[in-house]
Amino acid sequence: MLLALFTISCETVVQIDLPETESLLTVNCLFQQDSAFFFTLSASKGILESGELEQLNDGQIKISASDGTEETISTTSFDSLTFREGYISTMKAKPGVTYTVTASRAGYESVTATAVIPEPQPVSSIDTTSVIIARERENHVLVSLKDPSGIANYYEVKMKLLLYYPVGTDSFPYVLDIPIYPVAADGVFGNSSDLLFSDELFDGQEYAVRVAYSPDWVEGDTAQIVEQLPSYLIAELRSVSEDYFKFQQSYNTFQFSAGDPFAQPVQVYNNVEGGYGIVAGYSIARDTIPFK
Amino acid sequence: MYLPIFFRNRLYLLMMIKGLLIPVAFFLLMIGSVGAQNYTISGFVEDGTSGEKLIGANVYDVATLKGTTTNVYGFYSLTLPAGEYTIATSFVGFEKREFTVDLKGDTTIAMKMGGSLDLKEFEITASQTENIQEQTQMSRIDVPVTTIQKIPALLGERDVLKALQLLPGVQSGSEGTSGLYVRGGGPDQNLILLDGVPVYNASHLFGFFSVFNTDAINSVELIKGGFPAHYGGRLSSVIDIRMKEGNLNEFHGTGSVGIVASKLTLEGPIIKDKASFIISGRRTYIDLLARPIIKNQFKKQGTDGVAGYYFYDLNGKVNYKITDKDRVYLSAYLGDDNFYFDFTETYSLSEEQDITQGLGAGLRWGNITTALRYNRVINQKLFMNLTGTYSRYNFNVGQTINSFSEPADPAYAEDIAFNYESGIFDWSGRLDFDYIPSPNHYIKFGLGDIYHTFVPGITVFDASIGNSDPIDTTFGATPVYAHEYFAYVEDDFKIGARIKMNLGVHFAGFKTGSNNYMSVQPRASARYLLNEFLSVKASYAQMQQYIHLLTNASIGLPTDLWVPSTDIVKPEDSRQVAAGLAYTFKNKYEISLEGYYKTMTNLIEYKEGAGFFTTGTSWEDQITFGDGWSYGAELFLQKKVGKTAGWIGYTLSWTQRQFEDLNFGEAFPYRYDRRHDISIVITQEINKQIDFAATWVYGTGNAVSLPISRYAAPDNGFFGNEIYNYGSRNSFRMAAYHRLDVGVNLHKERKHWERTWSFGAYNAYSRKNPFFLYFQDNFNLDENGNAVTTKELIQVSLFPIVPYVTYSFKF
Repeated sequence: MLLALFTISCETVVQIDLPETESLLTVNCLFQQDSAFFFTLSASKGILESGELEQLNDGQIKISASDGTEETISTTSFDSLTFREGYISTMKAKPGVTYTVTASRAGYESVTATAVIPEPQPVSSIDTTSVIIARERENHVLVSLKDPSGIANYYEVKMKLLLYYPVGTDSFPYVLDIPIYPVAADGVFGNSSDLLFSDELFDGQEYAVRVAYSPDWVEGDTAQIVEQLPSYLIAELRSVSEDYFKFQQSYNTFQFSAGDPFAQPVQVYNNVEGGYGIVAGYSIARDTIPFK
Repeated sequence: MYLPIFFRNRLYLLMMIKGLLIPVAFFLLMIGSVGAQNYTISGFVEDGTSGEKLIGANVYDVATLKGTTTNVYGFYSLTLPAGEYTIATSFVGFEKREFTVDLKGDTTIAMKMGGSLDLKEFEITASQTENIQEQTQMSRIDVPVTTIQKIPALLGERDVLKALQLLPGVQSGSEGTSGLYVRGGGPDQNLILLDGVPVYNASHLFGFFSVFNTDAINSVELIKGGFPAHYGGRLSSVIDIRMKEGNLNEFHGTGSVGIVASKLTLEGPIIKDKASFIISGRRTYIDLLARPIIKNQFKKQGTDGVAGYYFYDLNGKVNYKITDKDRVYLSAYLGDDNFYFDFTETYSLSEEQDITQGLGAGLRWGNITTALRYNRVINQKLFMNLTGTYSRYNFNVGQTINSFSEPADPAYAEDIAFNYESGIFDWSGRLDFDYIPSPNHYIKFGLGDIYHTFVPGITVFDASIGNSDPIDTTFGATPVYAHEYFAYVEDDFKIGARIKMNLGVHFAGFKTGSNNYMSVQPRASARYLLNEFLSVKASYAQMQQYIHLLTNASIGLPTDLWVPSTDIVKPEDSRQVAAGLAYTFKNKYEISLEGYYKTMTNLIEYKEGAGFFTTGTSWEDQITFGDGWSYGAELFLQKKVGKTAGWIGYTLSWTQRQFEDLNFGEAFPYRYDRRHDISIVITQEINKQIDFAATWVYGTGNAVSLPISRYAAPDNGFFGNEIYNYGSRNSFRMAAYHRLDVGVNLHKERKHWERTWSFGAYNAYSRKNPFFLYFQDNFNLDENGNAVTTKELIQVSLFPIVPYVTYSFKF
């Protein structure tokens, strides 16, 4: 307290200016195979500029694929899944095809990004196990995959639960995201709390990645349904591009450290030339096992 | 207990002895056998009044100017052919002494220098110590303690480390703090030695004051490059601080009363001319002065409490001259910083029941260093020093919460304690020899070992709440034990009249767990005399560092962690080349111009997003590894004596870092990359009663990372997620730093004592220097009544003009 008094009594505050920064286009699109592209276009602001970021719905997005197909999107539509307005393609993304995206809008320099979806890598098997670590029970899921050799591959693993809710005599399928976290003993995750990993430690080999879930994640009625009715565990293995991997890792770190005044600054990966944002793709392979 | 285990288990010790000492012994025999008709004059040079040994005094033959200098214990050895000589002894601030000797055999002469010269009358007439152009060593600066004591300082607290910040090649960290960044190195790359014992955290009050009490200091030496082989373990600098030994002849004391702290130093003989002591203490007392006010404030709020902060230092040293050839020293330093807060409140739960709740919190950190040293003059040419040391740095933060009811009810009983502790504990032993076979060779060799215990953060949590089960848990990193061992040999030798070289090798290793890192570090320095006053110099030094400081702040927070090299964390390495000119002008002014290039590998930094509050991960997982390099030029003009003394220093430098995991692998400027750094220090004696001092510093602003723009994240939607774009790391420059400090000392001599009033001001023109920057959100309503958030970049400046007054005395 005395230090604070001493410091405050000496502290003088001066407002200083930053050099003005040019407003640049921001284009974002995280896309998956066999799905349409959903782009958002907005304008960046200087850090000292006030107000919300401006969504630009009067721009143009041009997609040029390495297989020769092209599409230009000039109008936005409402996406009922994300409840957002954006530029939605009719073209569907394919693995192995390189897409060059050019975004433009009057008053701004055009920006470009190049992205490709890696080929999906199938889930070889799923297994569940229960282990005691530091006197605590942990529920683990092992997701096996066969990694292609010779190239750098990046993955993300997610877990879902498929339930069939009884309604009268019928039942309706319902999918829940299961909160999972990396198992520290599995070196592929390093120190990260993300579910992203690279094949650096198992290039070209069969590998069973290990994640854990809390036994308390299902509660109340859902817990009873899981107990009483058929339910299934869906392991989703995403083969993600390097751009996706770098962006997601840095963005997760950025979000995690937000608000900590002692945290080191985080530079979020960005692959849009001449502007900001991320255009990156992934493919998904799934496998399902009964869940108890 | 420690030594037997060390000897029994470590093969490397035998390797060191075989690998180093046998060739050295052979080499010495060869040198020693040359010129069998030579004889040696040896002994100690001391201040005739106090008996204090004089470090770096010159002893030379007046006719040929062949000579030597005293080592850190005041020992000299001069070997000359048989004959008659006029031998001179000189040391800055003392009258030159000359005597004639007819050298027919080995002779021991204790040289007692006359009383200190009156600076008013003092004029340099001959080489007082080895002039800068004559020394082999480059990138080395002796800072006279008398100058440090005159330099104006923050709140009047004279400070060794802040004086060193005024030297070229040395950058300060943040405003007011005592961190040192030498030639692009980090704050952990400085080997700060107090009587030969490493000091790990050399600062009080978050770096605003250093732990060194100038009243107890005899000498201060800074080495920035061209490191002699007897130093090792850090990459960027050596700061060798030697304490006074204590007056062997008379009892004396000095003291001062300042705004922040008061000091008292006492010294005197225990057995006249045989044993002496010095003890020096310093303590801040704002906590004592403010205690009644703070207690009163608590009482006004109906509670009972106390809070405060203090630091203290205690230095002590005893030396005993067993014989003319044997001497033993025991020195110790003890210092602590302590924040405390205790608060108790009682309230009624019902008409029948009262609850009393207490909250206590504390933050404490401090150093202990102790050294037991034994000197022996084995023969006229060989001097030995055996040292055993213990040092400890620890940091502790704790909090307690307790409550109870009256009458007692277990349901309201609560007892919670949290304690976090980190630190480093060292035991060490070393054996050093100085061998001076002739005026053309000065050989040093030795070996040693430091046994480290690292405690990189342990948390203890105890809780007993109501009727629930008590919790008693300890978690965090486990202690790490390590041996850091070394051996070295170096020779400072002359080739003809113009060339002098220092060649050496430092062998070092670090053993922890199954790891055993080893390195052979060559060291070389050379000078070539172009004429009597001008020389050209060059040096090469390779260093390795096995311990690292994990820090994410620039102000020397006690939370900084000292951590060892491990499987994952490799030792840091550096290689530095330097070249320059050294010139003495009119025998009064020393001028040096040096250029350097330094590379550093295996440096550590926190990963992006990591911070002190990042929990659940070990320190090894929070760091990343990379390289650094620094290059630049330094100009230094110094005048050590006379009515007007001081220096002007200018540094032009570039410092970069490159980490695979930072800045997308691209090189970026180091936070303390400072293109221009200027310091001017002047002390001016007006007359015997008044002296004046001023310092002015200028430095390019620190490089920091600031967001420059914001843009939408892919999930930007209802939640408005935005990404801050930082541009390139450390791409924003804070405003330049500059500051003027002024001070005046008014002396008055009484019959048996002398007093001094010191007045001055830190930051005399009240420059608003940047301390840190932050963004502030302001919430306003626009003309339509809608909420609008605006952001401002705010620079916080810590110290405006800060005047001081200090009263000091000596008797």
